[in-house]
Amino acid sequence: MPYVKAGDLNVYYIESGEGVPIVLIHGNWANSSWWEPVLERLPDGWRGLAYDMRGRGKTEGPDTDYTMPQLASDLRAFCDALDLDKAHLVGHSLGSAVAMQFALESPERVLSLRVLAPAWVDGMPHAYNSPEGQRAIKEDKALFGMALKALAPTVPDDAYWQRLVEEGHEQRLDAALRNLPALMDWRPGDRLRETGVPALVICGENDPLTGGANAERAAEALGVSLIVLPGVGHSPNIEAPDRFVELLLEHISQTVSTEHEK
Amino acid sequence: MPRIRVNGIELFYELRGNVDGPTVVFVNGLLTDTASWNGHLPYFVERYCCLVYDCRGQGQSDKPDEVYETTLHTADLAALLDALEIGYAYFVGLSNGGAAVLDYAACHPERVGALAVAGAYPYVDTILRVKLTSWIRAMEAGGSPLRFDVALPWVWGGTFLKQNYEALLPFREKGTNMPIEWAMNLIKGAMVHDIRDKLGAIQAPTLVIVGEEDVLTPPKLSRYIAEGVPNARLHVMPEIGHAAALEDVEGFARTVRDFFTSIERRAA
Repeated sequence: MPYVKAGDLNVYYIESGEGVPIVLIHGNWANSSWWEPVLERLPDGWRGLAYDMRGRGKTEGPDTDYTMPQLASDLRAFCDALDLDKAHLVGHSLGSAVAMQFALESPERVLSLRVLAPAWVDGMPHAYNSPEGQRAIKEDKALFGMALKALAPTVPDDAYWQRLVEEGHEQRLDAALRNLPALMDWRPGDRLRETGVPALVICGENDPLTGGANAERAAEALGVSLIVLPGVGHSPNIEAPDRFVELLLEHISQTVSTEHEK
Repeated sequence: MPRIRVNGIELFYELRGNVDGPTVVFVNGLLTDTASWNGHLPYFVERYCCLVYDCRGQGQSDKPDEVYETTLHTADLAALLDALEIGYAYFVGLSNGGAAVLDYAACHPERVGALAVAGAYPYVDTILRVKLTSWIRAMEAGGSPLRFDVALPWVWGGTFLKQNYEALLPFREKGTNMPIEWAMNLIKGAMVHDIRDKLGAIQAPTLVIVGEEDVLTPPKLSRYIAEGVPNARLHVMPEIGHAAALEDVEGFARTVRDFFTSIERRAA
């Protein structure tokens, strides 16, 4: 599996297929492996790419600077390094904030934006910032597994899930801790709708972290529709990959046909 | 007072708290009612939508003359949640209610986000059957007051009794209000329970709470549950008996609430 030098990072990524690029951006305590079910399901004509963010997974390099503009800049460097002039972006949770920030800064490079389990567009509430909680799950792998499971409640306890728990838990604590202030400080609010990028917000019906009113607010700020997937939690990309990919492509094909009409 | 017809009977229930928050379903133990949760709900209502209800045969719910096996309580619970259109929730269960919640979580893993049980048991082993049989014999011989006397040291921890024995005595007379037949149906039903083969099917993060001084369903039984459920953790409360949730209301409420909120938020 490949690495690419991008800015100050040596970025690890996985990819599949050839065609229109679709870049997949993972959440906190996650890595590129979370996109395997989506990559496996992309039909011909698509090039899916999922990378490990700064400080995550197998990506190498400094992991000191965690602001949303920095993480968006990392994404831009990754796209530059692979000569991706334009791409569809799909971000999950923390990764959704990275994608939205990128769309704010470089809307001309975004073919479309899929916001999955959206980050808080008016800043993450302080009540959610619990460094001691993050330390506790880093020190206790079984507890980490339970915390992760609460965010993907319908995923079967199979070998794939166990690998996500293993890889998630190996993550550096600093990388996870530093993202919390980044999420609290990131508050683009209604500026998001100024990007003019075709977008869609998707969340699970039973997402206790970013679902409900928070997802509605993200859709409002972007000025787009919200699709709530019934019966799943915070992680439709691994809980219901069939439905998720179907939804993704359906919406993209609508977007693309709209583009052709222009 | 809301009652709802499900599974052939009427159940009494109440919904309290934050209607926009995740639902937490509270299932109380044998020979109790929804008042068991009065002290705990204040810790949950700000964030969670709380559902309390009386199981078949208890409190203000119907009491058809039959033995209430755990699987019947589980079917009632599923029917109640269907009727209230609650597809997904967190669960808290005490003792027999904990046994029912574990059974529910094994039968409907996709509908359970997390669960916490206290003083629960995976099956009725010989000694538990003998203990519960002694309650039935006491009731036959001397009605509910004698059953109260016999059950008391099994239900409450030694530390708690040392400080609260006098305060519990008024409940000796209150217990006589319940007709013996009702209590019989509840206790006999609690003795029909075995989910040892089902524990592995429980998917949700599970907190298994037990009082260190629980002599009715000793820590050994909770350890069995914690080892059988894939995502489970054992939490032992020191100087606490079988009635953990009532012996330390605040400690129990905080432990359960913090478990729910922390697993919701830690992996943010």
